[in-house]
Amino acid sequence: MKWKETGGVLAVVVVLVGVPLLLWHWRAVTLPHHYPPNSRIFTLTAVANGGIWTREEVMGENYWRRTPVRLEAIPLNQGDHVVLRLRSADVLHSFAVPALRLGPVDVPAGHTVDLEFDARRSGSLLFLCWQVCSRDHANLQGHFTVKGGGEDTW
Amino acid sequence: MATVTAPVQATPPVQVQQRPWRFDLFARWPWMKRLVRMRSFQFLLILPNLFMFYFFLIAGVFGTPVGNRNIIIVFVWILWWFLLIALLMPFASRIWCTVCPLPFFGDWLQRRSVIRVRSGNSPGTMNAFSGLHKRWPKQLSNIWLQNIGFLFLATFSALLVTRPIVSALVFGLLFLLATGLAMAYRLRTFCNYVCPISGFLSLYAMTSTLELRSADKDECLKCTSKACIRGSEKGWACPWNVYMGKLDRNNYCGLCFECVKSCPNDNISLFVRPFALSDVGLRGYDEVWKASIMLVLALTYSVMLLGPWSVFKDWANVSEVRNWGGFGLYALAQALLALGIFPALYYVSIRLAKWYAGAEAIPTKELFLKYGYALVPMGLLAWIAFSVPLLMVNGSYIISVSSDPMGWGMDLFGTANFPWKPLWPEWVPYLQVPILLCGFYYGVRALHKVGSGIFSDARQLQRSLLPPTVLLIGVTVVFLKLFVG
Repeated sequence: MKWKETGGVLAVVVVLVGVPLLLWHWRAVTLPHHYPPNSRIFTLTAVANGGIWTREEVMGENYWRRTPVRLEAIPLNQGDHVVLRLRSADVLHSFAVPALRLGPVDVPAGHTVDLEFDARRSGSLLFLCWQVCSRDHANLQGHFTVKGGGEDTW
Repeated sequence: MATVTAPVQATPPVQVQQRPWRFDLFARWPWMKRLVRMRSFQFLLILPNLFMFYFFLIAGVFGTPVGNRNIIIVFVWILWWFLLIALLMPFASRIWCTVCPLPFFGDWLQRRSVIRVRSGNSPGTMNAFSGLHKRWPKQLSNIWLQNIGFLFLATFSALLVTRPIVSALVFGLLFLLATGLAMAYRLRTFCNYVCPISGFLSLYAMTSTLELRSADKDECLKCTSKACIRGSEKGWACPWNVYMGKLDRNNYCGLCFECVKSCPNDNISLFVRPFALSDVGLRGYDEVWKASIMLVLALTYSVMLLGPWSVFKDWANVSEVRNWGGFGLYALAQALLALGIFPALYYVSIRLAKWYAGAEAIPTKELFLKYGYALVPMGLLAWIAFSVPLLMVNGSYIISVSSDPMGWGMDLFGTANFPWKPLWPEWVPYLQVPILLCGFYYGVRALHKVGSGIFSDARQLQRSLLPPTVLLIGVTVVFLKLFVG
């Protein structure tokens, strides 16, 4: 009986430690392997209230109690392969980078949508929400600033 | 209108008088008994559930705030709720309590073991318990706390069933409360008197087709050890403080199966029995009010979640709409209806039943409590009718959330982008109507069964049934109006 009791206690410990470990492993180890090596991976979350694109993790715990930090610009280097993991924390948004003819792609609430592109030239690239999502829709925009050798070439 | 005024003598409780058939599962399939007698039986059931529960809490806190993409909302309030109310309650009694993870750590601290039994002499038992082992106050030894707690949670249900963080907080608090109370009070005080889920499980378990009982009550009377309630070296004292020799209703048996392990006479068995017609008769006002609260909540939820009236949805959805006046009105109306208006209507029907049957000798309280059971199958079937569209309309979220439980962009089974697709929504009313009519049928049958244990005169019986039956008809018509217009 003693080994059963010990086994039971161990099983509980495995559950308590194992669940967070599994989740951490997925985010830190498994996820980056989904994308080409040396990609620059950005997770952008759209929040309708205030019209905010943010790189902060918007989750159950913080969505209702504070406004996330607005993302104005994402610095890139010419030649970067960029992976965007787009999320919506609330309603249906739509993402587009008009200068690249990238998108628009729907970003439904709670979903994660992947987009990839190569920053081949230097300059500033506007990204924005492509459909009217809320009263603050117009604020849902930001820039990629691509540093390169020459002048703005987009 | 002529009335019969002859005094009527109350007969013994109907359960004793008319025992329905029952089928002994342990006698038919002895492997079942061997299974539940394993010391690790309950632990092995709880462990995967503990894993899920823990994962749900993490998902509620760290997962997406979008309810229909977070596993805690989709699995708890769509899948679990439907399984609990539509399958477990009617067919497996309180089997949920067997696997519930909420009291797990409290039990562990109290018993200082997860599997084995510790013999000893903690007050009133033959086991060694840790903690203060205090007795719960007698004034609170009923389900009033559970009634109020459930009504309170239900008032905020628009938040609870859509916001992952709110669900995680509520379940987290219940978990802490269960653990804390287990340290201070003896046995499963939390489950018996505090847990808001346990309150309605206790009520609706009465209808279940499953019961754990002693095979031979006389054997219990001869038994001197009373190991089922006091425990032994083979099993813990009943966590629910139930003596199997007197157990005749499912309400307060949490199906932990400790008594099967500890009974020295091998006299406890699991039985299948008819639906809704075995544990008839409520025993306290707390139970009648619980039946009222549940029936009214099924009604208000049907209005709020299934009805076309956006104004009520906005009132309930206070955190989005911020209409505190409307929310106050909604909360007040729901509480008044559940605690005052509906019980008053039921009371009037009982007074009318007494008057019309000419049965002034029968105490109103007795009739009020016993006939109150009719609200139990009626309420359960109304809840099932309400829950059917929840699963049929929103069930496809279960498929997508299974692949991406946190809303982090996982795709574990390749179904993360499975579209929202209602399942035969045009069939919903065709399912709801027969379910509701079944509730009415069993309500009336329950009335008849209870009544025949009280009235010996057939004419008096029929007359006494009329007013509560009219009330049941009224309730059914209101639900039908809500479901099919």
